[in-house]
Amino acid sequence: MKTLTQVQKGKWFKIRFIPDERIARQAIRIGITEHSVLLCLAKLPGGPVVFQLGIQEIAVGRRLAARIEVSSSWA
Amino acid sequence: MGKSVFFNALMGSYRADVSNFPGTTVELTQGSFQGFRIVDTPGVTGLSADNEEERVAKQAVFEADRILNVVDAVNLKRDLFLTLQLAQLGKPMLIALNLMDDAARQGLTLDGKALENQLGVAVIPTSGRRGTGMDRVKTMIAKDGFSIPKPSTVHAPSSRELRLEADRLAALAIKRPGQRSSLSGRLGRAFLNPVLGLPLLTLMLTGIFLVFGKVLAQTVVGFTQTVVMGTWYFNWITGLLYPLLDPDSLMGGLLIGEYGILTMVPIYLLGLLLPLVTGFYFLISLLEDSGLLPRMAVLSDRLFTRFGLNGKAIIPTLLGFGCVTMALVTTRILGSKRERLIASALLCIAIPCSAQFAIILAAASFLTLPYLIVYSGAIALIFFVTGSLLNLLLPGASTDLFLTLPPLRLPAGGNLIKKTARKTRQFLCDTGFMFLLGSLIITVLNHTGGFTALHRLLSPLTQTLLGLPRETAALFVMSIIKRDLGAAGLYSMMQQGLFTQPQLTVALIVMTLFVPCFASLFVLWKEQGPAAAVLIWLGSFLAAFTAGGAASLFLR
Repeated sequence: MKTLTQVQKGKWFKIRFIPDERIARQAIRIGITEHSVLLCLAKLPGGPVVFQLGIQEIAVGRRLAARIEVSSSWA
Repeated sequence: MGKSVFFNALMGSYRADVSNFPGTTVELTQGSFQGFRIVDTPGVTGLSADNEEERVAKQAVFEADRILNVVDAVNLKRDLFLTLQLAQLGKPMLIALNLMDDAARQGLTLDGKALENQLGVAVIPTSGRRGTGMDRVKTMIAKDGFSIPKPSTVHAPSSRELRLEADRLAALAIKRPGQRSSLSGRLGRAFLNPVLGLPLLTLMLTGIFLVFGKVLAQTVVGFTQTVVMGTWYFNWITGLLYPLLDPDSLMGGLLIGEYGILTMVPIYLLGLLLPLVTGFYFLISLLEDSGLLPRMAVLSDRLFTRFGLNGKAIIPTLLGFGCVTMALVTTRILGSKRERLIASALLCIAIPCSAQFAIILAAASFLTLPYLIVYSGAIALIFFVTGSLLNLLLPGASTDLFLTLPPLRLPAGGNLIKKTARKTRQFLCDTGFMFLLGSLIITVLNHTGGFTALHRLLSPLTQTLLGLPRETAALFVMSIIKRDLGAAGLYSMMQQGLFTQPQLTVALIVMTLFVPCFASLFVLWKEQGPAAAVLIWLGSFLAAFTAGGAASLFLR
């Protein structure tokens, strides 16, 4: 399974699994479900991954991103 | 974001602080309106008590009789989730669909009536910033137009089902989706670009330093302190009172002596601090309102993880440059107790507060480049060592960054000016009293010869360890009372030419790291408990004299 850190900038993806319960709760509140199609906007070297959902931009710390499982948007 | 603007528009006065990032409101602000007691809560996206803000908001909502739900029209999907959670409480509700001006700018069209039909609660489109729709909100409150949400929407138990229901409602209400302006989007992304982001940030901070050091400190303060207050005012007040008072008596000293209530206090406060602090608060407000702070959080996340924090910690850190006392409360936005403790220690030890920082910047602009590097290096080193040590020693792990970025926007001039004025007024009130107290204590010490004794007593510290003139002992006394007072004293000693470049560098390092002011200590005690407060206080003593002593040895 691919993780969020492996998504390339400019690529679309879906989130499959968030291991941290607190973060999973926040994600569902702001509108992220396993159906949401997300766009990777930026990856800072050794730092956070930033992605887009609708018009919202969301930043995720590197350590957490390495544990979030994702799949390609068409999967 | 936006909710506090709404609250202010509703109450018709400026009560709550407003910024373009979540986490500005960490405590409850209250007001009364038409016999209702209205409580402004922190902005949250759900009710599960994940952090201090949510706990505060949850408690307020549970205690409330009626809920005025301020929904962000631009982030409707997100806020409908909270709306459904609130609906489950079965309390009478009224919905303000706020930020409609932003929505319109993005081409987003919403159908409030559709929401109204689905939820069974009145929905009023508003813009707190422009005041549109506010009259209707007021009328509705006055005639108690709150109603209990339809039961059909409140059966959903799990958060997954709530999400699906919120998505369904959003799909009904959104007639045309919006788009972020491409300029704001592109600029926002430039800050997140690894190649462009840091240079852009550095450029900005250099700009700030130049505006401060050169324009404000040397030109403006040169005029206000030296000419207006130091000459015109000083001559007027002493001319007026000399015939009536013996300047060598205690009374004369208290009023018009070197540290007098009518001489030192207004000259420092109005001539020196007022222009610096106003400029500084303006800059902080600009950073807050533009949406740059959360982007700085993203850029600095990697650095902060070394200290057991995440990028979010840059928000209290930067606000700490405005006022450490306030920033100690803002640490509530951080995810865990561990993070709050680390951030509080860093704030108290290595972050100078507004007036002090402004004075340090001004004084530092008199330093030549190598000394400036020694100074900033020493402070950065202490920041780094403190953070890393605490991360190593404190048990547990810290939370990861998960942050929604608000759009970049041009701050509204009106809000900037109001906010700057409010913060500056607050500063003058808080500081004024402490300055009076300080002036009293110092004059008495001076008059009774206590100062000379103190200078002698502390000379191993000041002269031997730090290599500074023994008069600097007075600065430390001033600093314990109020950090700005010590900083102002330092500035005036510098203007009198009492320091060489290496001495000024050492003095600046010690003053920056020196103990937090009484107000900060009080808040620290309240928020972190007595043990942590005392340890942090002693830690800053240690940090100040160790770093100062080392720098002094190095520069000798």
